[in-house]
Amino acid sequence: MNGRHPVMMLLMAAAAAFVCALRLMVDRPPGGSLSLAWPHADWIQFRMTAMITAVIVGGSLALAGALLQTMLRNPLASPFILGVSSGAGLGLMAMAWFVYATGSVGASMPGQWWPSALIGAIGALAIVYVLGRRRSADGAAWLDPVALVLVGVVVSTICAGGMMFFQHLVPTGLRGQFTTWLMGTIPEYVSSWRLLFSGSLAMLALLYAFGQHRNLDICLLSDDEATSLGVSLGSLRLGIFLSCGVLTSLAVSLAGPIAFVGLIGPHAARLLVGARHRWLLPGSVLCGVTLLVGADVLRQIIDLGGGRMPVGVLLTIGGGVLFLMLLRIEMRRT
Amino acid sequence: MTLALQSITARYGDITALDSIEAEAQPGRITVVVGPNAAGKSTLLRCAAGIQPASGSVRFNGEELSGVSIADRARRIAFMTQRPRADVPLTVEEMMRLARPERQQDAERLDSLLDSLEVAELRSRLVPALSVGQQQRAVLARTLYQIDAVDGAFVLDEPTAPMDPRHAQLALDHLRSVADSGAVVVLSIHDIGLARSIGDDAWLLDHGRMAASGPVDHVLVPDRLEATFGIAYEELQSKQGGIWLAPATPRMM
Repeated sequence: MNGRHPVMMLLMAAAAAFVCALRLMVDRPPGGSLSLAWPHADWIQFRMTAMITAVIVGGSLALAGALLQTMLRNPLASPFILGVSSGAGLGLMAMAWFVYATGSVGASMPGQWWPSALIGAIGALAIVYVLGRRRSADGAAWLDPVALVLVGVVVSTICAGGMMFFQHLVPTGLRGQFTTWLMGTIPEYVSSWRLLFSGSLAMLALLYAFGQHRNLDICLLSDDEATSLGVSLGSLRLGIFLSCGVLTSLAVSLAGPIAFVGLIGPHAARLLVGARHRWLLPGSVLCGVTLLVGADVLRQIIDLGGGRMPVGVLLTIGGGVLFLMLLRIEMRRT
Repeated sequence: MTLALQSITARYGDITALDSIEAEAQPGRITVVVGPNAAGKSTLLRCAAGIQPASGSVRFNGEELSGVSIADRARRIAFMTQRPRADVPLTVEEMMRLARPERQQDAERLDSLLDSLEVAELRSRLVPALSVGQQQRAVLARTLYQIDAVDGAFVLDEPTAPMDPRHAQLALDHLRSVADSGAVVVLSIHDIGLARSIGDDAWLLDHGRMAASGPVDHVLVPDRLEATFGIAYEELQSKQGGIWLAPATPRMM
């Protein structure tokens, strides 16, 4: 065991705790000035909800990204790039439209229909996996990294088109809510049972993945090597892909599709604690939490007029630049 | 403790890669697998290691491999692929440790393998930072670390292909000592001269069929090799008294 890793994990946990505290304390009312203080009792519940939601969403996306990068042997894999987030989004939008069209429950925001997000996420992942797989002349199967990303981008685009289609079918007021949700926002009101349900499922996925840490390490090798070392790839892939589907659909149903957390979180963790999954998985969760809660804090501070910027917009712009920097560091390192 | 293949047939779509192969590898002996490109060597080795499904039967120590769990099989047969992943983001030592569960790690054996294959000085280096030949030595070390030689089988697909002559000889000498300790060793190799010098037995494959099998001095002979590879071979007497096989180039003829 590398003695540096526990220290790094403590530092990462401290950073995550720090941004969570900031999220509770930072305040800037519309038109007012920035302040840092423990919130009034009327506000604490909203901020706590937003903070817990961001913790679940950030941790889930980063964990899903780390698992996808390992299972697909592709450093560019993430729920957003591979179309898993868009698949989940399409599932939610389709369900929200269905509910609106049939009038069975009344028009509502798409985030409430988590099972439909799960179906969309797993469907998108299955398409990307099947179309990204190749077989060489000697029968060995392998995942083509370029094909994976290309198929992912196309699946993502098709799902985005599908979401726009359902947006088009609903009346203007509801369309506006859909648009805001699609930008990626951390809500300040979510029911307690939903937070508990989402947090519990995300924790179960983390525990399952952590239990597989040695098999995941072996999956860094080729399929033939992993199989010869005793890993049952079929059942492991099924479990991990299902976990990724659950994590991504939870995140998307809570906060909409958010880019780059699932890509940057694992890369940052890999730089700090290496590629062994015993450290990488919890490290990715902590980096994802720090990134998303930190971005949510930042959006409280930034005032460009027109209200607070959705966290998804901030992350798409800032996260992209940050990812390019991380990529450069990692390329130099290897 | 033999590795026996009976009626092995493997297909990729319409292509028959292996056709009714019968073969047996004995403990304490090195079996070399030889044949032209696309003869089915890699497929045969993957079937022998139990990682590729095929019709027929593969038995190790009398036990049918298809009836053994993947984890149990990994404790008896170690397989080295022709195409190990080169961009594994781990150090050489971290990669080697993947070969055994945490509780079964053996630091002394790991160090000894790193030393004997001259990868000890690379143990803290990341795998992608190594040359192809160094990576191959590290992967061979990991394969040998996976199981105990005395009661296991090592199935190796071109283990020395990207190595320089000295390291290739070093690796083959080490495999000889592994076989001498009682293991089954099956390896494919393109260098016929090296195959003849290192092997005890040979499986000669041609178009997915077993053209010949048996002791190397019966299988790897000029007539048979010419019929399989389409070029003439010549037996040369080495100064140490052994026989070396080499293509009979026009200048030599």
